[in-house]
Amino acid sequence: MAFRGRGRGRGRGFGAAYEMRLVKNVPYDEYPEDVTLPSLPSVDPLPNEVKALIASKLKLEYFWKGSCYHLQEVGSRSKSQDVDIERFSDRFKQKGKGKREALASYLKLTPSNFPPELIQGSKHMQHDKKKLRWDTDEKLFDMFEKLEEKYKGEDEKGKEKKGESEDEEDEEEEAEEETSDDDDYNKNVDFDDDEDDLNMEEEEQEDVYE
Amino acid sequence: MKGQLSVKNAYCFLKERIGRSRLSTLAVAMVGQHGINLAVSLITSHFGDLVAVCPLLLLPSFSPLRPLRFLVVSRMQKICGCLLQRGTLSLQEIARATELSNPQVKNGLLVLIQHNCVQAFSVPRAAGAVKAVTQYMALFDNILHRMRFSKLLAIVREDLGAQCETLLEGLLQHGRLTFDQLVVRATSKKPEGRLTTPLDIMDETLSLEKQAMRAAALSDAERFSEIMSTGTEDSDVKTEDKQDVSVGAKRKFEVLEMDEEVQATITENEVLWRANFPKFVHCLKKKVCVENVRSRMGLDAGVVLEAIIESSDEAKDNSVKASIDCILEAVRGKPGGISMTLEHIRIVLDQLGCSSSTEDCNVFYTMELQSIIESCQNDEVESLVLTRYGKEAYRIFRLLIRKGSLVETDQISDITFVEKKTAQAILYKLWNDDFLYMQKVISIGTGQMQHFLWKVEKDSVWELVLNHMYHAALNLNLKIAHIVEQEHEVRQAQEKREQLRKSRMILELSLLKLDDALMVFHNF
Repeated sequence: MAFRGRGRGRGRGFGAAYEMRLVKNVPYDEYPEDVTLPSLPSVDPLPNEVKALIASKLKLEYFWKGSCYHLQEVGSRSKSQDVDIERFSDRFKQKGKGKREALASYLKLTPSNFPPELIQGSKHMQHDKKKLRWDTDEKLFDMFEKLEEKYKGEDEKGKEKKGESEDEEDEEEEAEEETSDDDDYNKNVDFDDDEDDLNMEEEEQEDVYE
Repeated sequence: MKGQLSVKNAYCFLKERIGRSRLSTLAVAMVGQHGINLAVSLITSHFGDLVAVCPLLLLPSFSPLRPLRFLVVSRMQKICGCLLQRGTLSLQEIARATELSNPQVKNGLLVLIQHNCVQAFSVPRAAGAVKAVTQYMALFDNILHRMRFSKLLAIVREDLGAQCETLLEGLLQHGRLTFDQLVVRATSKKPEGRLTTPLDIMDETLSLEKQAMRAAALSDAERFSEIMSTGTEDSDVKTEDKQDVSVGAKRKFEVLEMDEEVQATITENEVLWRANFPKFVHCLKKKVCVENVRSRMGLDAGVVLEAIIESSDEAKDNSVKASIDCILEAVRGKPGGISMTLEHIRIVLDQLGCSSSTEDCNVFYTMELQSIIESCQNDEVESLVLTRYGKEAYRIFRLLIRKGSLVETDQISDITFVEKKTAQAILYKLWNDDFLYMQKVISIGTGQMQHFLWKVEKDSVWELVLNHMYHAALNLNLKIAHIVEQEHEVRQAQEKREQLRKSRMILELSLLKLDDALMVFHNF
C-alpha cells in the first residue's frame, strides 16, 4: 500500500507538470453571470387531444399508486419512524398503507391463471358479494373525468378555451396536492382488516406451506 | 447451473410451442441497458419499489448467466429489474438475487403476472427430476406499452365509443379481469340510468371484424396452462344469471337474446380478458403510415392509403391488400375523396408504390407498409443528425445512407460540397459517436497514402438511436417526477408554480412524441 501511494505521488507530479503546459488556469466560476438560457418553448395552447392524453395518463398513474398492486415494503414503518417528528412534507406523502385492499380480492388465484407455486400459501378469498373499490378515489377521479370529458367535448365542438383550461389545470394541480387528505373521503369502502393477509402478515405465513 | 434455462433456449422452446407470431409479444429482453432502466422506472412508478429496481450504477450489459455486482448494495434489489437483467429465473433464484423474502417475491410476481409484464412457464427438468421448475420471464414490450395506455384508450374512444373505453380502462388498470369482474366494475361506476350490459358491448366489439380489441386470453391462457402442466382450467359453473349480481338497487340489466352457447362460454369459464397489445400496435402503425404518406405525398395519397388499409384483410401484418372496387368505395366515403376519379386513384396507387395483381377478374393492389416505416425511420435518424451535428453533417450522413457502401473522404467532400477539413472533422465526430463505420486503407503508390472509407451500418445505427431514445424517455420520466416533487414543496410563489406546471406540460408532450418515435423504431 505504501508502494502504491508512492507511485501515485510520482504520477501526480509528472502529470501535473504536463498539465501546466497544455491548459491555462481559468478560475472556476461557480455561478456564472453571463449565461443566457434559451427561453422555454411555448406550447401553451396545447392541442386538446394532447391534454386529454395527458389527463388520462395521470389518471391511470394515480389509480395505480393507490391500488392494491402498489406493493410496499413490509416493515418499512420502523419504530423510529413513529417517534419521528411529524413534518409538513409528510402531509403529501402517500400514507395509504392501511387503506390498501388485499391483492387477492382482485386477483383470481387459480392454477390456470397463475403458476401454482405462487398461490400455494394463499387462502381462497370469499369475495363474491364484497364491494370492491374499483376506483381509488371518487372525488379526484371525478375531477380527472371532468377534465377528460371537457377536452373530448372541445374536440368535437372545436372551440378553444384557453383561459378556462388554465383554471381547470390549476384546480387539478391543487387537487393533486390534496391526495393524502382524500383518504377521509372514501365513502363506499367497507372491508375487513383481516382480509389483508397477503400484504400484512407475510412473516407469519412465510414457511408454513413450504 | 442445473435447471436453469438460458435465454436462447427459452426463446426456441416457446417459439416451437406457441408459434412465431405470438412470440413477438413475449419478446425476450434482448435490449440494452437503457431500455432496461426505462422499463424498471416505469414499473417503479406504477407498482412501487418492491416490484422494480432503482437504476443501478454501471450494470453490465445483458447477459443471462453472469452474476450481478452492485456498486450500491441496497436491501431492496428487486424483482422486475432482476428478471430483465438476467433473463429467465425461477422463484428461488429471484429470491436469492433480490434478497427479498419469499412472500414478498411471490406477491411481486403475482402483480407482475397479473399485469402481463411477466410470463411464467415451466420447463420439464432433465430426466430423473420429479417436478417441473417454473421459470419467469419479463416481457419487455408489454412493460413499455404501459407508457402508451392513454393512446390506446384514445384509439378505442375514437373508434368504438366511451363505453368501450371504460371497459378497456378497467382492463388496463387491473391487467386482467374476468367477465364478471368487468360487469361488477361497470355497474359500480354508473349507478344511475339504464345500463347496457358490458356483454352487449363485448358482443358488438367481437362481432365487428376490425374491432377485436380485446382478445380472449383464453387461447393464450390455455396454451400456457399446458406448458405449466397444471391441468384443466378451473371453471366455476355459473348457475346464476347475470341478474343476480347486484350492486345496490340501482340498475337494470337487459336480458340479451343471444346464443346460449356463446353466453355460456363467456360467463361459465373464468376466462381472463386482457387488452390485445399487438392489435393496438398494428392500429398505431397504420396511423403512422397514413400520417407519413400524407405529409410526404399530399392529402390524396393519404386518403387512398387509408382506404386500402381499411378495406384490406386484417390478418397480415406488413402488407395490406385490397381490390380496386373496395378501394374506390372506401375513398368515396372519405372527406376529400369524393372528387377522386378512378384514374386519379390509379395514379396515386402507382405513386405509392403498390404492386397490382389480378385474381378472379379483380385487380388487387398490395402495399408494403414496411417501406413506409423504413422511410419514417430514415427521416427520424436524419433529423437527429441534423439537430445534433449541423447541416453539413446532415448532408454527409444522407449521402452515406443512400449510398449504402464505403465512400472515401475526398469523394464525400466532393459530392456534398463540404470542405475537406470540415468533412474530416464531421466524419470523425460521427464515427466517435458510433454513427459511422470506418475503414482505413493504405494505398502504396508513389508514397504511402492513408485513405479513410466511411459507411453507415444501418442496423447498428438504428440500435444506437433506439438506445438514445430509451435514455431520453427515462430522463424525461425522472425529470417529470422531480417537478412533481417540487410542486409539493412548501413555499412556492405563484409564478414558480405556473412555470413548473408549464414545464411539466412541455415534458409530457415531449414524452408523447418521443414515444411515437420509439414505436417507429421498436414495435413496427
